[in-house]
Amino acid sequence: MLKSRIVTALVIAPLTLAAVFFLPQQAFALFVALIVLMGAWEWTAMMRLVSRSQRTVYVLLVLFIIVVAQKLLPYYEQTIFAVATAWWVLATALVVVYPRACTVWSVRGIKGLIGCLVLVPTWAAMVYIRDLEQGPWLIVYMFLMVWGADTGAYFAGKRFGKRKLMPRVSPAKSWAGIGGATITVLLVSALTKPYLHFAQELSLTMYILALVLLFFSVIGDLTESMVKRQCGIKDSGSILPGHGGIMDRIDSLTAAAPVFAFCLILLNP
Amino acid sequence: MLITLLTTLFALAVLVTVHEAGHYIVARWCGVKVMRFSVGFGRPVFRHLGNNGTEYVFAWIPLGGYVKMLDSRNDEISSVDLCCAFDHKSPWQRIAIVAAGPLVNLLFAGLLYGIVYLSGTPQLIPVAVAANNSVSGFETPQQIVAVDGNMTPTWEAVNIALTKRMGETSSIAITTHPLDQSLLQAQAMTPNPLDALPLVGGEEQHDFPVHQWMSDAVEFSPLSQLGLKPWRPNVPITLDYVTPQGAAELAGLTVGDTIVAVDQLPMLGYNEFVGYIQTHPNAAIKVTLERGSRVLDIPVQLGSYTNEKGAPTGLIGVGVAAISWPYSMQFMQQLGFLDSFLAGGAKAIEMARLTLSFLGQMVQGLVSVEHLSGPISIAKIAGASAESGLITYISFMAYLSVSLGVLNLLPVPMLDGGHLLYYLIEVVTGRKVPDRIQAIGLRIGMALVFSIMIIAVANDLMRL
Repeated sequence: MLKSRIVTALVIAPLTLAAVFFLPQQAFALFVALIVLMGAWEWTAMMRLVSRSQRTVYVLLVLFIIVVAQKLLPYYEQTIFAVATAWWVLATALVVVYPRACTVWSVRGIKGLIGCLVLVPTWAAMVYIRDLEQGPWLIVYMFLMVWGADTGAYFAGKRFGKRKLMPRVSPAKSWAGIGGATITVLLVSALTKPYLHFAQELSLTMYILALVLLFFSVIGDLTESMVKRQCGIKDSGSILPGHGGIMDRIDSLTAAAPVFAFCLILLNP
Repeated sequence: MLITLLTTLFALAVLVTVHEAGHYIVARWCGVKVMRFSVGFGRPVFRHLGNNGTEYVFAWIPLGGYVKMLDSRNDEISSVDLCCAFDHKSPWQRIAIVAAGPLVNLLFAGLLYGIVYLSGTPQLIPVAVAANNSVSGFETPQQIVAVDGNMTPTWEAVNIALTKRMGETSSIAITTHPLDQSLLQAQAMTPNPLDALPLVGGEEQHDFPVHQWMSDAVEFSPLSQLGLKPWRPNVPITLDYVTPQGAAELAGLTVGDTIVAVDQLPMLGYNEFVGYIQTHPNAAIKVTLERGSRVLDIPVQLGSYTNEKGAPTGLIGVGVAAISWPYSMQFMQQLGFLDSFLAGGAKAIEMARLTLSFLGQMVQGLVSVEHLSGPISIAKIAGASAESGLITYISFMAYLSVSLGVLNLLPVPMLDGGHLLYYLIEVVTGRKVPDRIQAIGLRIGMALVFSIMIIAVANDLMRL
């Protein structure tokens, strides 16, 4: 399991980095859109849509919203990311009270709406961040944070994990894992800080940003777990050997990316 | 930061307790068995079992609270207890229990406003001038006597009267009394408690045609929408403070100098002077000043700093003594005991009405949803109001209490108002609303509440 996990990671990580650094902006937008649409396909399973045609309709709907978002992005970036961040604040509340409030969002229509709130801002954030000064490096920083948090949490959790974080939502997460992730993201921030232009005038704020991103990446993870759990799915798909589906891989990113984009706007108005 | 957090939590805890106490007391009156009275959600921090069988709980997430009543739909109960179950009470009793929470919030707001009035409120007589000489008749200061025929002794009265017309397309009638500007300025310079307002001539009537009044205003300032601003005395530029090593000190300016001109432009007041300095970062300017009986021209090399919007801003490093409002414009609004609480109640009702009409206009699209505020804005205002004094904080709490009461009365399932709606339907049709319909209603209601919360939090984030 761990072996296929590492092998898969060794394949997709260079591919993703190549896309981040070498694709032209338009092609990169398309690349991210494809990944997000695969996520949307997996999301339809969580909406308990079975027929191929219904699932396709949902994916096309997400595609349509992405196209609209592309037109709006240059004018409303702050609004788009503020709404996405607000959604993740609400998601925090939903995760905390789970399984209460379940009756409301487990309706198919609402779940579909949540899917859009999860996926479209992720696309917008990736495209927006990459277009900034040092964009590809900002994305790498974000990846390092999210993946570093995952890795730190994985090993710390394995070694020390006793007290469960939220057993009702995700049995695999422990407080020790959060501790490991915290140390990793702070370390990553300290190491990358000298190379990031936007971080030059930040001191403590840089580390607060790291904690904010960690917080939301955990919430993104938990939110997906919660939705999967509610409809009894374990892996969102099987496209990535050892990792499950696309959604399982990008769940933390879906929350961290829009929040990071919003923080960047706040820090550099 | 800590003050903001604590004051917000305190205000919320008090208001939630009051709200839930409303439900609790009326439930007891109606003979409903209350199983638990909780302030806050989640794991209990403190619990106490009363001898009436109610468990009083303080829980660790202080963002709400609840009263859990005996209910045969959720609890296994014996037939003896059935008469004490909430759902076995008559619809009118249930209406009373559910309505009590929000109504007690309104009552509590009235009480708080009463305390505010009782303590006496320092007020300014509203005096306005044109914001940029565009409004004819307002070139010199005018006391605002009435708006649409409603007397306006205070700025608050002016704002309320103007806000009443929000969304309308017609004209607003403002009754004014012209004042003598130079006399008013003189009163500000040499304060004398015996001064009277320097009225000139008789009252005047000004009509302001408005089109969809204030519908697109993001900043809540009715006066500026009319092209007016509050009149302020001109502060003379006599240096009271010079920053060590600042631009002014390096150039040789000292305390006591009176600046009369900059770069040959005559400077009438401190505001004008600051405006000029700020728009000339790092510039070399020439300051003309009076020192004793001499008039000197002194070159000054300005410094600069980056303001909160990120723009470079000029800096000279001097301060002047603050001057107060003329005594003739200040008065203490002092009400008696009974009058205070009557006025407090009236104010609470007025605020509730304003909140409702505001929401109505938002639904109609006459007012932008950008006005919605979420928890972050509330916390910011709570902190700011607490810092500016106890009375301001109390009046903010009263406002929050009104909002809590009014919002909870909205006929949205999930809120108290939604239950009221169901019970009223039950009174009319004689049958309980079917569970299936209630469940659908709950979903719609929660979806609505969730989307409004997203908008409110997004607005908060945009204002960061």
